Amino acid sequence: MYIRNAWYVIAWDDEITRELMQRTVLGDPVVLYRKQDGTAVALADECAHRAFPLSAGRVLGDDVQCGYHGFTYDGSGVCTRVPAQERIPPTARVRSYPLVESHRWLWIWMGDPELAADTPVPDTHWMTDPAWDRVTHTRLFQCRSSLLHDNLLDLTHEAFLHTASIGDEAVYENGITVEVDGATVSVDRFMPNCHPSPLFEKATGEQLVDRWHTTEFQLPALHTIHAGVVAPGGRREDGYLLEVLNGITPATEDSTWYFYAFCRNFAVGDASVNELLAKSLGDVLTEDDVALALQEERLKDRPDTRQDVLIAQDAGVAKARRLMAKMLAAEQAQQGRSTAAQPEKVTAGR
Amino acid sequence: MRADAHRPAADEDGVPVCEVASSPDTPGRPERWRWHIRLREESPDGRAEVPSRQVVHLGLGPDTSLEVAVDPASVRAEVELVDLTDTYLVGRDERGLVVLVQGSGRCLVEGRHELGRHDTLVLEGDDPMSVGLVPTGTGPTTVAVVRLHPVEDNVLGWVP
Repeated sequence: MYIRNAWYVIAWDDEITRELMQRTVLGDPVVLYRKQDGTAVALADECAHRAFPLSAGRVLGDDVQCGYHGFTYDGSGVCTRVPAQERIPPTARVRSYPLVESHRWLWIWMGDPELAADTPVPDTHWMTDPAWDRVTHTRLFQCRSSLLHDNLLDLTHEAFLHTASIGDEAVYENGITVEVDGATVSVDRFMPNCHPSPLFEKATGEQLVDRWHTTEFQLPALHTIHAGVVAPGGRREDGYLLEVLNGITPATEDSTWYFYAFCRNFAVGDASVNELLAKSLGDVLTEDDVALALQEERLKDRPDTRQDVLIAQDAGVAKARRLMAKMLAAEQAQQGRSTAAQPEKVTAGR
Repeated sequence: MRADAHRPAADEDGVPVCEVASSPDTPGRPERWRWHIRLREESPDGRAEVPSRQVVHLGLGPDTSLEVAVDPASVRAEVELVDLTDTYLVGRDERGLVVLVQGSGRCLVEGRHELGRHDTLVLEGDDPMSVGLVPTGTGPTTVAVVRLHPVEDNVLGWVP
């Protein structure tokens, strides 16, 4: 079950070219390409004729041609040519998905397209702001998306899974403040007067700091971790600041795309810091990838009657689960109403 | 929790309510039900009380009442409506849990959380043992203070 009426990251802007690319999102295969003017297109990756994947075809001008019998579709999914006959069946069309390109990410809307226009994509401007530098990664995790949400909302795992880089005991020794507003859950942890994490010490040279991280989860697809360090007693805005963007997009029920950007307002343009962060944070993601795949294996066999034991540090996790359930229920109720409102099918007598 | 994050639900009679917080708080959890706090649009007068629950109703404005229901075997509830005119200190005991639900007006809690109508703040565990409430609006300001105490050796929590 997926929340469909939401923007999800599907790709980096430079991944989409004049070549066809296939990516599965929310269980549905999607084919992506760019038209001649550079506009990105997302279509259901299945020819209406015989369900052949369009991604195995070719781009012709602004259209995509199926590689099996040559059915050709424009960027809106309408069939423009059936090579074997003049007439184009009106049902020969494939679904097209709304896309928004913003600050290096392509966002896709897999739900009711009419709702997409009223919903802005989240702000990720740190990825293109020249005052910031960044390193990025893309992974396909072998686990359900909820495990990544739990991971990002309960950062105490850093002290045990990422000991060589971003974790230490300061994380679990300090409590959290959770705020829930609309479809956003924020988990704030302030760690006063402590050592920076090993990686932060390497990157900044600081020894004793006030430290913080706030995971802001804009349900259901983006966690922005606002983090940083500052001299003890200093103001957060004066510190070394990080904006860590985590685009979480379910591929299937047990695999998840993870689009990651670690943005910083210091050592901008420093290639050695970029190299250090790219390597270390890649290792962090690998540690998460391995751990969550192990967790997924166990969960597959766990009976529904046995559930996680949650503790106080899981307050953000619990509130996010509650909100996810609320959003899913609202979407299903909406779908139910739409189905009920369909006109009855009338069968003409002969 | 902002008012727009509360969960639409239905009570035992199928009447729509707005669930502010409960234990367990996440649908589908296996833990035994302990307590809930809900907002109701209509007056609850005449409603059949559910056996084995202690239910307290409190007017929270002209059209809203606050319902606090607990399992009396494990939780004891105290509810009061505070007319906020000046700084008001709310304390809690170590094993207890305090839920603040804003009625009319606005107030600032702990100098950093501003609550508007039906916004809610839950204090438990490592949270401060007492917080100051300061009215920030010009009109009347009311806040419902719900104190939940564990009975005997029971442990109270908001998670899950």
